Amino acid sequence: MATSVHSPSRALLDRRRVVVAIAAALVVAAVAVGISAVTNSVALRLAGGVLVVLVPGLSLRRILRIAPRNRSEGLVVALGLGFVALIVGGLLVDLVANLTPAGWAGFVALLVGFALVSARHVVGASAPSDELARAFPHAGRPVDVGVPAGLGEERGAPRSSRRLAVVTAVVCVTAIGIAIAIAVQSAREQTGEPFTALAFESGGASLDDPLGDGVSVIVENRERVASTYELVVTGGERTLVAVDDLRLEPDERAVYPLPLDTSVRGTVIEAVLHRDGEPEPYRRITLTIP
Amino acid sequence: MTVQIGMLRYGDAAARPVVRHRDGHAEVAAATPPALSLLGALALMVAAVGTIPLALAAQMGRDGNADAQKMWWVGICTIVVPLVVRLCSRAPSRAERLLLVVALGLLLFGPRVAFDPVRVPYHDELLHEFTARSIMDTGRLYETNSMLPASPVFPGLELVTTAIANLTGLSVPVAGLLVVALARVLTMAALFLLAEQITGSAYAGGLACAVYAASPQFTLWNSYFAYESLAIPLLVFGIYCLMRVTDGESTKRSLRWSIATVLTVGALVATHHITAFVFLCVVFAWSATTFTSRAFRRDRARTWLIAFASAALAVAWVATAGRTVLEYLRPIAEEAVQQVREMAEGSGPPRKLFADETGEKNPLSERIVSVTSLLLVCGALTIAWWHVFRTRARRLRSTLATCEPDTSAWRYLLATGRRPSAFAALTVLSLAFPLSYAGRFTNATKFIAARSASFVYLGAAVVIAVWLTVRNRHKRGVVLVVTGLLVAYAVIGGVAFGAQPSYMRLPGDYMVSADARSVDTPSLDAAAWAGGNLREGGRLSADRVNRMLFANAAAVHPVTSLGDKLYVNWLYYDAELGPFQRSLIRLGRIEYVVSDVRLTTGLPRSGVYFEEGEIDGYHTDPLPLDGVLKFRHIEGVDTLYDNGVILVFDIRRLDEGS
Repeated sequence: MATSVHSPSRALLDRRRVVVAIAAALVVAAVAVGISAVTNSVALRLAGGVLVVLVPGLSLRRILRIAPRNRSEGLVVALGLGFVALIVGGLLVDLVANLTPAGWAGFVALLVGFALVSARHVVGASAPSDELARAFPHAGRPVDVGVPAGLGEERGAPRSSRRLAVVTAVVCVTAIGIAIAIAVQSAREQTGEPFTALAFESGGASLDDPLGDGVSVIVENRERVASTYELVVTGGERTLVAVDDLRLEPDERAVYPLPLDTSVRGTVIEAVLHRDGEPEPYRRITLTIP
Repeated sequence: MTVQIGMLRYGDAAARPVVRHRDGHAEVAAATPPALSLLGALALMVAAVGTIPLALAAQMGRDGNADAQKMWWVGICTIVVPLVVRLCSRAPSRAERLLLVVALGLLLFGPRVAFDPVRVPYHDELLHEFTARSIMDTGRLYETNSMLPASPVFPGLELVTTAIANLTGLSVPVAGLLVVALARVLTMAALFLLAEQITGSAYAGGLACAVYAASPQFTLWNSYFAYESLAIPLLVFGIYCLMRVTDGESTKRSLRWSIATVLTVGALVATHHITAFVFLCVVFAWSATTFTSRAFRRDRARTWLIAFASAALAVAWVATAGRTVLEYLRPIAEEAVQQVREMAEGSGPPRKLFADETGEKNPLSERIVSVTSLLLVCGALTIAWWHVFRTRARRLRSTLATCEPDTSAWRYLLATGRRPSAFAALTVLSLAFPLSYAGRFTNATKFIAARSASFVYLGAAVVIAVWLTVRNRHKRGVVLVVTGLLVAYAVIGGVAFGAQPSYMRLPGDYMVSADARSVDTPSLDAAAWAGGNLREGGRLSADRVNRMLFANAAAVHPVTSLGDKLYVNWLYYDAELGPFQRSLIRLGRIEYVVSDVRLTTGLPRSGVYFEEGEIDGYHTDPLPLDGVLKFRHIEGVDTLYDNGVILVFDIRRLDEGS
């Protein structure tokens, strides 16, 4: 395989190369940031995720001028160095910036740009023939080495083999796609015992400031059948909410904002839920207004 | 112009001409097998179809169907048998073998994906999800994780995951599963190249991957979103890079591979402590083997240089960012020593083999398959060792010059100078194989021993693969099929050994403190509610499973013995809140308490309700109901959420109430 070496300084002085590298880096950064913005497709995002690993790996491989022996080694090295680049790069980014989408995109773009600028050619590719010549010093006569050779470059597949590969890929992707679809559908189903939840819900970030943020009482039916409830919410001497006939279908929830004012400060809000006309309270929750 | 100068044969299957070019290069002519044969394609398609029974089994498990386990095994066998049998055949081309091993690694990720493809419900997965979410939320590394303090200081997995999540918009769990899938591709492909280049045989490369898949940890444990799942591929890749450093290329090329190796070690050191330690052991063993033979001499300087550079990186990391790992690992080591001593003296609690902590055992058939497959691997490894050491002894009596490459592939390895020290290092690694099973007999070492299988199988896989390659070099037909079936049996046995207890394989009804089987809709809904209603960073007391769910959903701080030196389980036993419990609350500055009523319905499957060390020995009774629900009746305590099984209490005004 032909090899050539150019000095990096000369490469750096090549303005066109630098411009192309910067442009490519900007495109990579834009694409990296844009994947999540332009698509909601999980499949596309997964493909983007593979690129997020492979692109830094290929760049690092190029920067280190590692010449793979064959395509398979090239891919393995790119994948391995991809992980390495993201981990080591992430540690470095953390030192100087935040690990936000912009930070990561900047890092990937920088790596790609540097790879394009610094590496002119893949240098020093190891010819398979060299390897084999070294490996089989007895290559002038029949040699039974006992194990099959395997260091040669992958050859281009014949046409029939390519067709078979396409059919195989289609069948495999279809089968795995069906399996994943079943698994996703199954994972979305409710598991565990059916239940009804009664809770306070804040209008802000937490229940710490109920007067400022506002508070609601929620009733959520996670039973498998419709149920009828009776809800009473009191604050001190006041009745804040009273619902006699609250019927909720499965997975339906009712939200009751509480009319709170400073007069309830220091009192305990109590919500009591009865179910299907039973006399005993089914759920009871409390919240002290600070 | 080229001229044919000889024939290179592999076994009896095919002859390939060796040709010499005008410039003097000799090479083997184009391989005759097609890139993908019809049988290879069929094997791949059948194996891919095997993922459907896995998904159906998960659905059946959720529906409570008793045949779910059988369906799961149908899926496993459908994946393993065609791929492994095909790998043991002589016919596939190199490209096909590589495709088969990558498919084996990816499709055996199927059981994990089938369990839950959109969440990470297993215990260790949830711990790492918390660290990843911290990085996503703050944009910074090293934020505290009280449930696993070592995780934030070994953030390699989370860095890759958050990079993908940030740049693609994928959720953290899905990005994490993608990382693990890519990591499994790297494991198999790098191991294939490693074994192939050690032996010069793609057949041996494929076999090594098939034998490695027999590791009990491979199918389930190494599929989890946990730092080992990325560290092990980095380990294999690091060993591969090191082998390329020492494979006799020019100094310049060697230097480039050295930089790649050191960078990989840097990433590994920042990813997982134990795996980094294993890499150090391998590289020092590798360096030590260079003193055993003149043939290894040329590797000496390079391997020692990499060894010391790796050690320096590891020490630097542990001394700075990774200091907490020593506090994390020291109690485990001390407890292990203590329990080994107790076992030797005949005291201490007995270790329940093939059973969970409540004593529930896997089916007898699975135990038989597990043990017999293990014996099969042990037998193959023993014979392989015998061949290795016998050959070494002979080699010591002769010189390399007298070795005829056609007498033994072992001699061939040495005579042709093909990465012999790499093979020697992996052989040394395989010697730890018995230890990884001996360690399963004590409670303290069982987890370390189980996890070490991922490492020792690397060495064992290469050693067995080389022996099988030599053993089968003139065999064909039935013998190769039988070999394939035996290796497939070992892989299936490895799955049975590692995927226990059996209820952990599939989703289903709630079980008490059973990791992923305790994650169900009531728990997830309660945690999701906490997300907008509990103070971010609020200090929380909860059981082993709920604390992880609440921490991930609401960014609260669970109070734990690892992070806060407090065991919160004492809050849940007594019907009254006594002075001891009140002091515990004050010391832990606990603000919220989560009570899961279901903890009162059974003994914990994992052995603990809250965390390791909460009591001496085993639980004999479930938690008392009045102990779990007592906060409901205490003055000054607010009940903020109640879904019948999970209650969330705000105890910040407890002192005001008393």
